[in-house]
Order: sequence, then C-alpha cells, then structure tokens
Amino acid sequence: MDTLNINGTEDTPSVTLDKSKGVFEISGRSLPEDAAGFFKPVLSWIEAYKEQSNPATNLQVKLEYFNTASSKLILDILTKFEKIQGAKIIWYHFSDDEDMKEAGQEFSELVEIPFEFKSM
Amino acid sequence: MFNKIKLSLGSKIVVFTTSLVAAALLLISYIQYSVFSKIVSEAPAGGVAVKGFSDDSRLYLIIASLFVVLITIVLSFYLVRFLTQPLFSLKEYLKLTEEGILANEININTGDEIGEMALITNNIVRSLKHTAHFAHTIGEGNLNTQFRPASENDVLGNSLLNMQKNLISAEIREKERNWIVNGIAEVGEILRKHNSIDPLSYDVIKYLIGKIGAIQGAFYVIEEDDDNEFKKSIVMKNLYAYNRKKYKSAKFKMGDGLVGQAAIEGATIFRTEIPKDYCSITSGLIIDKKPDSILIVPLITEELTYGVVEFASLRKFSTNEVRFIEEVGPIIARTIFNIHVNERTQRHLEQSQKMSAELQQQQEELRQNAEEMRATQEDLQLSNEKLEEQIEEVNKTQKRMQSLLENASEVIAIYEKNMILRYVSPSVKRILGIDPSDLINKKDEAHIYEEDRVAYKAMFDELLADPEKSITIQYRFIKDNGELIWLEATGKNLLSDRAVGGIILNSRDITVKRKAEMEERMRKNMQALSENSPDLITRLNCDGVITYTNPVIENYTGLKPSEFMNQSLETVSSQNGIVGVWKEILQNVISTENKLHLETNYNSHLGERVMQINAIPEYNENSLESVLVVSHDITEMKLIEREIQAKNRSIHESITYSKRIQNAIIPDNKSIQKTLPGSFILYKPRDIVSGDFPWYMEKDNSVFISVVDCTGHGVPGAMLSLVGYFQLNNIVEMCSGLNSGAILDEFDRKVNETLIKDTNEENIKDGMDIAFCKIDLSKKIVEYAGAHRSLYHVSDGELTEYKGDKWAIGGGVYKNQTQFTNHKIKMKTGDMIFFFSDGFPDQFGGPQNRKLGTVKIKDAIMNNKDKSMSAIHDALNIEFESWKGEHKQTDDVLLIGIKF
Repeated sequence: MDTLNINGTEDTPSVTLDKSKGVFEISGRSLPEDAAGFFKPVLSWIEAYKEQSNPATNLQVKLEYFNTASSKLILDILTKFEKIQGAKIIWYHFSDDEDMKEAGQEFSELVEIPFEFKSM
Repeated sequence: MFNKIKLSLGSKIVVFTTSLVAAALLLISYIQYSVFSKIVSEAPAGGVAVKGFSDDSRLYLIIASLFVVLITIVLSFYLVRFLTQPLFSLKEYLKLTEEGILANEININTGDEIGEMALITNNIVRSLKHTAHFAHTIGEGNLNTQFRPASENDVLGNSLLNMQKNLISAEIREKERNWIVNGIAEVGEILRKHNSIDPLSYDVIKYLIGKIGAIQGAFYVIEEDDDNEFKKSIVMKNLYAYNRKKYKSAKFKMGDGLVGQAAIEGATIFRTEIPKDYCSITSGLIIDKKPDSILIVPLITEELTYGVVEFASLRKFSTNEVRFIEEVGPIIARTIFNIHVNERTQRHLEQSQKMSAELQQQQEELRQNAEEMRATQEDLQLSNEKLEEQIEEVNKTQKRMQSLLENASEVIAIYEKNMILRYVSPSVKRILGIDPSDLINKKDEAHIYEEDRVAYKAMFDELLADPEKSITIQYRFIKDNGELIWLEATGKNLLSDRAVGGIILNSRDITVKRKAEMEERMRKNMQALSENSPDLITRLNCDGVITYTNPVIENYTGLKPSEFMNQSLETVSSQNGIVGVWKEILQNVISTENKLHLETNYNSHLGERVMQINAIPEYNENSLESVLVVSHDITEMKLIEREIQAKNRSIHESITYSKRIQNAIIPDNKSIQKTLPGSFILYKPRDIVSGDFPWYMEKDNSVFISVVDCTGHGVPGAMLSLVGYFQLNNIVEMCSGLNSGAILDEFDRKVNETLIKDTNEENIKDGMDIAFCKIDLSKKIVEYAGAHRSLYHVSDGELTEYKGDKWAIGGGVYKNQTQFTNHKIKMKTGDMIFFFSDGFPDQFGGPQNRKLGTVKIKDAIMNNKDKSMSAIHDALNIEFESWKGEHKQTDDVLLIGIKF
C-alpha cells in the first residue's frame, strides 16, 4: 500500500505512515484550522492498513502541542489502532513537559492499547 | 786327623810348657827372694818387717834358677829344631796361599799335627785350584762346563754353580731380547721404507709372520669414515698365509668379532681355544685346518688404536713372540699415524694446490674479463655520451612538444580499437580539467553526456568501418566538477599508421560557440514566442531606438509594429502615452543597470490599462546593449483583486461586528469588579473573535464565574462559544442549588445534545474545556469543577493546584467518564485563585520556540503574590508577551484571577 507522507508546518504535524519500512510516526505541532480535515487522510490510511497490518506496528507520537480539536482526532487515531494486532504507541514528550506526558497518560487510559512513554 | 795333630802337638807343647813353667817358677822364686831381702835390710827398725826366707834358701833359689835357665836353653834348641822349622815352612806356604798363589804341594812329612796340617793345606789348595779352573772356564764364556762342588757345603763352589745357572738364563734372556730388538730394528727398517699403507702392511705382515713363525697373518687398519668421525671401521689391508699374499678383503665395525674387540679394548687377544666359526687357513698343503692359537694385537700409540695385526699358528706362540708383536705394535701404529697424517697432509696439499691452480685460472679469467669489460666500458662511455647528446636533443624536442601539447587549443587523444584511451595530450588538464592519468587506459564514455554516447560510439564504429574517412561530431562532455561543456571532435582512423597505431581524436571546446549559437536560436525562438505573446514586448537600445516590438503593440496604439521598428523614441509619435513610459524606463535601467519591475497605468487605444512592466537589461560583452521591456496587461487581474479586497473587507467587517456581539455578551472587567473587586480578566483572543470566553453570573447570593475554551478559535470557536454561553446561562438560571460539578455534568449533557442533534458523527469532536467556579462570597467558599482545566489557589504564600477532570464538555461521552468532581475550597482574606484556558501555557516562543508551560505561570504568580492584582495581571501579561515575542499567537488566551 502507498506510503502516507505529510510534511509538517508550523500548525500541522508531520505524518509518516510507511507499511513497507515499518515506520509510523506523528510529530510536531497540531493546531490546524480544520483538524478533522487535516486528519481525514490519516484516519482513512489507518482504516485501510487495518486490513493488511504488519505483525508489529509501533506508532511513534512525538507531539509538542496539539489543540483541543486535534486531541479529539488523535484519540480517534489511537482508537483505530486498538483494532490492529501487535500495535503499540510510543509516546514521546519533552522531559520538562508534564502537560504532554499527562495528555499521553490520559489517552492511554482511554484506549485499550499498550503505551510506552519516552522523554526526549 | 785334626784331633790327632792336636794331640801330638799338644803333648809336645805340654812337655815344653811344663818345663818352661818350672824354670820360670824357679826363676821367679829366686827373684822374689832377692828382692825381699833387700827390703828387710834396708827397712827401719820400727818398720814392717817381713819374715820368711833365710839366707840358705837364697842360695838354693839361685841354683835352681840357674838350672831352670839351662833347661830353658836346651829346650829352646830342641823346640827350634823340631817345631819351628816345619811351622815356618807351613806359614810360608799359607802366606803364599793367602796371597792367592796356589803353589805346588808342600812337602812336610812330619807325622805330627803339623804334618797333618800340611796335608790338609795341600788338599785345600787342590780344591781351590779346581774351583779356580771352573771359574776360569766360565769366565771364558764356556757356560756349559760341568762342575762338582767340593761338598754340599762348598760355599764357593755352590755360588759358582748358581752363578753359572744365572749366567745361562741371562744369556737366554739376552738372546730373546736381542731377537726382539733385532726384530724391532728390522720392522723399523721395513716401516722406514714405506710411506703408504698397502705395501707397508704387506711387507710388515710378511716379515712378522716369518719372524714369529705363524702360518697366516692379517693386517688391519682402522679407517675413519670421512663423513662421520665417530664411525670407524676396521679394514683388512693384507692377508698373508703360507708365504703367499691372499687377496681377500674384510671389514669390521669396531667391537665386531675378535679383531673388533681387540681394537676397541686396546688389548691383546691371545687364544689357544679357537672359536668354531673362526677363520680357516687355506692352503694347498693343509685344507681348512683350524689353527692352534691366534694372536690379535691392536696397534696403539698415544692411547689411540690405528690398526690390528692378527696371526694364526698351528702351534702355540711363545711369550716372547707375543711380546715382540706387542712391542712392534706401537711402532707400526706410529707409522700408520704418520702415514695417515702424511696422506691427509698430502691430500690437503693436493687439494690446496688444485684450488690454488683453479684460483689462478679464475683470476686469470677475471683479469681477462676485467680487461674486456674495461674496453667495453670505454666503448659504452663513448656511446653513452652520444646517447646523452641524443637524449638531450630528444628531451628538448619533447619539451617543445610537451609545451605545444599543453598549450594546444585542442585535446589530442589516441584510442585503441576498443575505445580505450591510450594517450591524451597534456592540454586535457587545461581544457577539460582532468589529469591525463585519470583518463589513460580507461574508456572515457562515463564523461560523455548520456544523450551523446550513441553518436560518440557511432563515430568510432564508422571510423573502424571506413579508415579513409575523417569524421567530425559535436558532443557534450562532463567535467570532473560536473560542468557540461561542448566538444567538437574530429576523428581519424590511424590504426595502420605505425607512429600512431590508433584512432586519433582532436577535440576542442566549442562551448562558447555553441552557447552563442544557442543564444542565437533562443533569440529566434524568443522572437517567435514574442510574436505570439499576449504581452507587449519591446526592445530598446541604449540610444533610445526601438529595435523590436511585437504585434501586440497594435492593440494598444492602433499602429503596426513596423511604425515603431528602428525608430527613435524621440521621433515616434509622442501622442502615445506608452512612449513616455518607455523613456522613463530606459533612463532608469541605464542608470541603475538593474531589472526594473513596476506597475503603471497608461492610456491606450483600449482605454486606460494597468500594465505590469518588467524591464530587463541586456548585455553584450559586459556592456549594456539594450533593454527588453515586457508589459503585461493586468487590468483584469486588478479588477478581480479589488473585488476580493472588497469581499475581504466585508467579511472582516462582518467578523468585527460579530466581535461586537461577542463582546456584548462577554462580561467586562468593570462589571465583575463591582462584585469581585480584587479580580482581573486577562483576555487575548488570537483572532478577531474568540473560542475562549469568560462567563459570569450572579444568582442566589452566589457568583458563578468560569473560563470556557471552545474547540478551535476564530469564527468556529466563536460560534461554539455561543452554544456554551447560552447553555451555561440556561443551566445556572434554571437549576438552583446545583454545585459546580453537577452544573458541569448538566452542561456536558446539554452540549452533547445540542451538537449531536443536527450533525453527523464526525463533528461531534467539537466541545469545550472549562474551569468553573461557584463562589459563596458570604461564606468565602469556592466550589470548583474543571474539564481539563485546573484551579490554582494561593493561600499563606503557597500554591495548591486543583486539577479538573480528564474529559471535555461535549465531544461525546468518553470512556471512563463519570461525574465531574466538585472541589470545595474555603477562602481566607488575601487568598487568591487563578484559572485559565490552555492558550497561555501552550504559547510557543522563548529561545527554543517551546511551549510556555504551566511552571512559568506558577512562577509568575508566586513571584508577584504579594503585589496587587493589577500588578499580577501586568506581570502575567509581560510574561506572555515576552515569551511570545515575534511568534504568532498559538491560541486564544484567557486567564482570570480573583483575590478575596
């Protein structure tokens, strides 16, 4: 399947979803004007990937900031990974950024998927 | 007889003696008397008187004495007559005998002892004479003379007999000794005659066999193995039997057999019991007869064994013979040693002579060689000098050549048939920037521009196919630095030319020419393009002459391009406003030599048009030649732009109006401060309208105050904020007595209800975070509930954070969601509370463009906690603004602070 590559901007995160190389990463800042619009292709890609997933899928989330609208969509993304066998979330945060760490912890409570926390 | 003599002489002596004694006694008596008488007479009266003899007796004594004297005289005559004479004769005879003279027999015929004595004396002398005769004959060497001693006790005779016996055995010994000595001398003679082992051994063994009467003899020599000095063997040199030399050979190891045993032990073996398997003696006379004795003697000198001699005999060898062989052994050994030494010396001498002869020969050869070499060297030197001159000449030529090749404007390359570069002129460095060594022995195809490789290869193929032809092609060449240049190469097949023997390619850089050509083409293309361009394109030279204009000019002026071509700007009808613009542009570009970009209006045949003009200076050989003026009609674009601007403005206005509405419903500081004098609202919408809004209501002696943060910002946030605003109003208005948590529960329910009603699934993401306080001012109790938002309570100089619940208002029901927590906090006078939307902590900025974070907000509050609330407001505002700096605002910012 095609690789999804979105280059990040000041308001939108970088997204790399590459099944063949086994790279799944969302990084940067997420405060798009239209969060639902921005994440729509991401959600569709995951939907398609669900049908032909790799044995192991490590989603690396390296977000510095996301606004409330994005947080809903990130939750959606994480929820989609729930149904993928062998999926795991690796949640990165700056070592001094308690908010992002907490945000990750909140997400981890909301979805049924293994979380691993790493500080940058 | 002796006794008889003794007796008869004794009787005479007794008589004689008795007479003598009697006479003597008489004489003595007389003498005594006469002496004593004399003494008495002369003695004094009173003295001792001896009484004895009388005067008569004195006379008698004298007569007697006289008688005695007479008798004595008579006796003396008698004695002289009968005794002294024969004694004297006997004494004379004995005296002679004492002197060793054995005289004739003495003739004393007295029947007395003297006569007997004379007889005995005669016997003694006779016996002595006999003995003397025996001694004499022995003395004369006649040792075999028979002699009988006078008696068993004849000392002299027995001694002589013993002496004779000793002399005889001494003579035998001496004979034997002489036999040995002679033998040694003869062996010595034989040894002296020879100086090589073989004849020596033959002569020696022959002699020795004869000497000791053996029937067979062998001579062995111990030979050392040249290769191994510890390996010695015993080699039979000569075998001699029955007066004939036997041609038989034998060789033993040390210790082998009797011979080997004798050699190793260095001791003579003399055996009369012969081992069965011992050698047999062969001769015509006796066939295979075993010898009765064998004698094996090692030849030893200075404790080293040099050989062995072996003898066999049909009789037993005498001790003397054995001794003889043992004695000659060392002499022979010595000779063998000497011969060995001589042989070795001789061998060494021969070797050294041979070597020196060889050396001499070699030396001679060397000398001849050296002479030849010297001659050759002289020749060589001459040739060398000539050669050097030639080399010098060649070098000069080469240098000229090199210099020519280096400075040549062309690259000359020679290729093998298979396109491998064999030679390339040094000018390649200058022209193509590549070291010749990087190209030689390789194919240079990689340097040929991909599109041109086929043509390049085709040239080689063609040259190979038709050696007469000279082919010229142009192709692009990639330099090492990646630069692309054009080369023109002329190839010739000189494979059959002996001097070249390859395909020669003369290439030169024609990039400049190509560029010029290309430019020319470009210009032509440009012209063609210009002819069809909708833009007005004109070229003006520096003298103000219009060298070109495209047909578009007609649209604007109604005049044909030909009416402008090669016309000076001055002479062209000045009624055209466009010419004035051109003049200005030309002046500007000439003075600045820069591109010019401008928008201008001009009156044209079509009415007033807005033109966007690009004026490009064109250079020729570094000097400005002309200015190309491209005028793009943007009149239509301008109209659209204006329309957009108008719409924009109207939207802006509409939003600004919305802001007024939003502002109208949002509580302002002043109205709140009436009830909460120590309070402030720090409100910074990101856009004109905001997704964050403060909400405030007073009811039932309570103050309800909250910070609401809607998803999104700007218009969508503002729209959502209205939903929140009215729902909160409704809930608080309608339901009395609810605590903050219950109010949020209700609020969440209502918002979900409202948003889900008319929207599809995807939009239920919309919702809001909230920090909600219900304040009982009389009791100074704050009930706090939060959705994702915290409340900071500062009391007694310490800050306590009350965290809101981890789900939002709206946006559907979350997993794990329960009811909102209602925190009840008792306030003291001077206590402060702060609550805010996430826009403040999430602001990006600072030196590393990071989020501001809640820590900085807490620090700002705590650092200013003792100041007035307006001072804290300002401090927080400064904290935010300085952190944000030049960055844009991330989100709407809303912070409320209240002091009790």
